[in-house]
Amino acid sequence: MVSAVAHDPNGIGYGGAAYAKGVKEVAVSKTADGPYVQPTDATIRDGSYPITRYLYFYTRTKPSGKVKAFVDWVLSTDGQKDVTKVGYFPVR
Amino acid sequence: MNPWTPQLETVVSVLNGGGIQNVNFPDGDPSRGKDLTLRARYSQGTVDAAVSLYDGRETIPLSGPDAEVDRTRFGGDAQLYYALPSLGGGSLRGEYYVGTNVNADSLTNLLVRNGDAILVAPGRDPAHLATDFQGGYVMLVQNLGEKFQVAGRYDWYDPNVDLDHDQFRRVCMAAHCFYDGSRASRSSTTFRPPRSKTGTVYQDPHDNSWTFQAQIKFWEDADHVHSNSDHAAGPTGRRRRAALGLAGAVLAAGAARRRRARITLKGSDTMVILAQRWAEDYMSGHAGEVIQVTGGGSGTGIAALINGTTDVCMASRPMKEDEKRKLRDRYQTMGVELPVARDGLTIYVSEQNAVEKLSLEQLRLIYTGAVDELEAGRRRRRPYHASTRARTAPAPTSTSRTTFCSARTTPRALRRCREPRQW
Repeated sequence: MVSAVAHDPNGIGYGGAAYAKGVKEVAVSKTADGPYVQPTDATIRDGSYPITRYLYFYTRTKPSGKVKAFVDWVLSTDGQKDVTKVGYFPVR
Repeated sequence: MNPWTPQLETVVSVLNGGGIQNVNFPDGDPSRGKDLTLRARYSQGTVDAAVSLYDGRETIPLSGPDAEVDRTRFGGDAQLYYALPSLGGGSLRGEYYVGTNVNADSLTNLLVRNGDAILVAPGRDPAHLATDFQGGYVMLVQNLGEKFQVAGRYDWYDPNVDLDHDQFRRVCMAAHCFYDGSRASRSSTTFRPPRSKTGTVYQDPHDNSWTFQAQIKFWEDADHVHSNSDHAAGPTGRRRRAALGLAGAVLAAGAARRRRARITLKGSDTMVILAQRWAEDYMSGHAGEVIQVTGGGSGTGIAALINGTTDVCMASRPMKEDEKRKLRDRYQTMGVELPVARDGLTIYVSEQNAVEKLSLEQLRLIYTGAVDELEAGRRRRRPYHASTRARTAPAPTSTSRTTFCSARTTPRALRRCREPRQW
């Protein structure tokens, strides 16, 4: 789809972080008055870019044992590296 | 812990009198009037309180004129949920009710049989066939970690408040052990100490008894470890295995031991790829650990968390309040929310396009097809061709106006763009 938009001067597309040639990311604001924010690593992580959301884990109780070990690893530097690899943004 | 929005629920119903317990059911309307029930429940986060009312009449069929008495009930109940630091969740519930109802002792004492005829004894008032009663209970449920739960309950019932020594009192204790928390097998024992005073009518044959129950539920066959993504999670990709048995506890323990110890993750399709990568990397660094990842959507994952069929739910949205309440009602826990990643949606245009910035409202208009051109700065108007990854149609060309614009292909983000975090 990136290439479809790149070859269409009037096209618009959306997706995860797209650093492809031929397209440029649009600054977005919540209201017409602004502020318009470019999607960058920093603005998505701090939530100032308006189209972001958290991805959650939910557990019934406070994680313990094997589940706690896994969740701790997910939130560790190693686990959060995978977040970046698949195109999302780390929380830590 | 965020305070949930207070909620008031009310239920009102009008009934045809005595219902199926009445001897005239279903041939006639057993009481000439209608009975009314009301219930109002107020809940705010960890506290629920409710009042209930029943107002009606009951007809007692007699030889000769039937007797008609009041049948009313008014009650209040409340429950409080809490979490203790080392033990886990718990709840305290209580209910108290008062009312008027037909009293079994009064039927024995005030009615006389004369052959086949049943009559009110001479000099007795048929209105006294009903008496004022009151009763209630207090119950405490406490989790002890993930596997154990204890509960205690005290309840009493006084069928006639004008008489002494007819009260019914009972103390119950229960202990639950969940053999396999995520599979909801469980057993319980119940012990009832004697009540303080026994009446002639309300004899309970189960006094001083203890009960042992074992329960096994259906569970999902999970042998297709983390190869199943969102597509395989449909009904066809799912096999179910059932275990039934009288010696349930033994079977459950055996089954639990045979299955590999593993952690199950279920929910958001958005997170499946990420979670599979986590699972692979974690398993490669931790020999013997098995992480199973299944998609199906955030709602499916939350339902699985509530049903106890997953250890971890993946969700790309916060839990809704009714989902939190279900979890709370079932496990006495408030659930634990862990943000594990952040997702951002970028909007892009061709480098040749003059547009540099757009508001959420403008994006919504473009993607809902409401407009197909916008003023781009001070430049001339240019039509937009909105593309979405949901379509596999041919690439748009500049001659096809609004090729990909339809509500169906609108990113959900933009339909609710006033709440940017809710998409």
